[in-house]
Amino acid sequence: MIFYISYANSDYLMAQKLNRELRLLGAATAFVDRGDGEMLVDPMVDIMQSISSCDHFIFLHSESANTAMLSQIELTYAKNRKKPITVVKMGSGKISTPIKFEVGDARVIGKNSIENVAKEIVKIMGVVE
Amino acid sequence: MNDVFISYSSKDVETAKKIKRLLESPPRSVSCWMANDATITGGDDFRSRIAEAIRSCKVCLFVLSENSMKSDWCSRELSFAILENKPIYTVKIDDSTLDDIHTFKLSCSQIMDASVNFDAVAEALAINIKNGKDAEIEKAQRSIANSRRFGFLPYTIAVCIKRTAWILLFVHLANMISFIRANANSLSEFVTLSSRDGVDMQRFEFLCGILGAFIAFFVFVGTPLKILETTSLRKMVAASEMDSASALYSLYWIFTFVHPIFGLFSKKKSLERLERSAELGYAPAVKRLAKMKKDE
Repeated sequence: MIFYISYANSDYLMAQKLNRELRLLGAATAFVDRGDGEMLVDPMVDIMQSISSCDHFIFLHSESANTAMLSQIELTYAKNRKKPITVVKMGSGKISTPIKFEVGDARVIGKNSIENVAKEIVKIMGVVE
Repeated sequence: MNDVFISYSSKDVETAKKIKRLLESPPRSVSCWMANDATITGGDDFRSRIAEAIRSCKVCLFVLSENSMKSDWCSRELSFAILENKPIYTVKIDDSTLDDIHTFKLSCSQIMDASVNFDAVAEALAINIKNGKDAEIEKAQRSIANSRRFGFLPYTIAVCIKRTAWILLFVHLANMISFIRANANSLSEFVTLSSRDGVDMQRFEFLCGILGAFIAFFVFVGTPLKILETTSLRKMVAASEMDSASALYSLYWIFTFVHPIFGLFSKKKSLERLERSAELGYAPAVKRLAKMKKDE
């Protein structure tokens, strides 16, 4: 099972950590490393292909993700491709209406620590027995 | 600052100009920016001009056609607008079908078909832009701007209090060590001393009391301060702003730690402290000073 991690630029470090933790737990990930947003090449094709090829879409929610255009595009695209979605809440901020509309009744994981979040994700997906 | 950045293929320039005219004409009066000879003059770095125009506009209008989907420049402009969190409005001017990458990029954009009625599309666009269809995004962005403002002040306060407490604690510890060294050659020797040996034990007990107060401060106030600091920092991170001042505070803190260490172990300072203690009448200090002078 391949996980795609969607994140806003300001959550890059958390996303990177989650990617690392998932891999340590034996999960495969499609992580498009955009750094902190300063990119020299257009990442859109990579992102599109990664979402298309993933089996599960993880959406890191934060206040920034509420307004990040790319995060919303990724989420909508994943929804259109009928990918199962899990939302990881990074803070106590509310999920914005457009995102709530897209995620629907997707599973929401409250932020504990990144290590525990990764464990919960792989446990839910049954990746690690 | 313009309302709209228009991204178009050069092959569709006349259509793009028509859309621009319709948007800019009263009563719509939506200000538009499009790359042409008027906006980019010879000698300009046109890539920077375009990037700056996208950054400064409120929304991006993508003129969708077979030509624009094939255009590398349009692709870059659209990607840049997305990465800059600009709402994307799309006006379709022919009967082209979206390719995969544009299906992805425009998945959150409402596509308006202008191949039939330009005027109606321009009207709908103007209403959306002017009335703030993306009011929720603007509101969220304002909230983030507020977080940035209110995240910095609590963070600074928490950091200042903590740093100051650490500095004062260290100075106090240095004070206590000086007192011990002024009255004894070693800690074990000091422990055996009492006020009968000329040691001002009351003063030492007072210093210990202050140390206890510091410990209590860190135990009871330290945790709430840490929570305040972490919450404020998270808000600033969410607003994509790290507090560079914390780096300065850390440098100041390190300097303040290092400076007393040099003072504590410098011979000149030790002698000055010993002489001061002898003047105050501390018997061990008097004895030690006498011994040092005799050795010399």
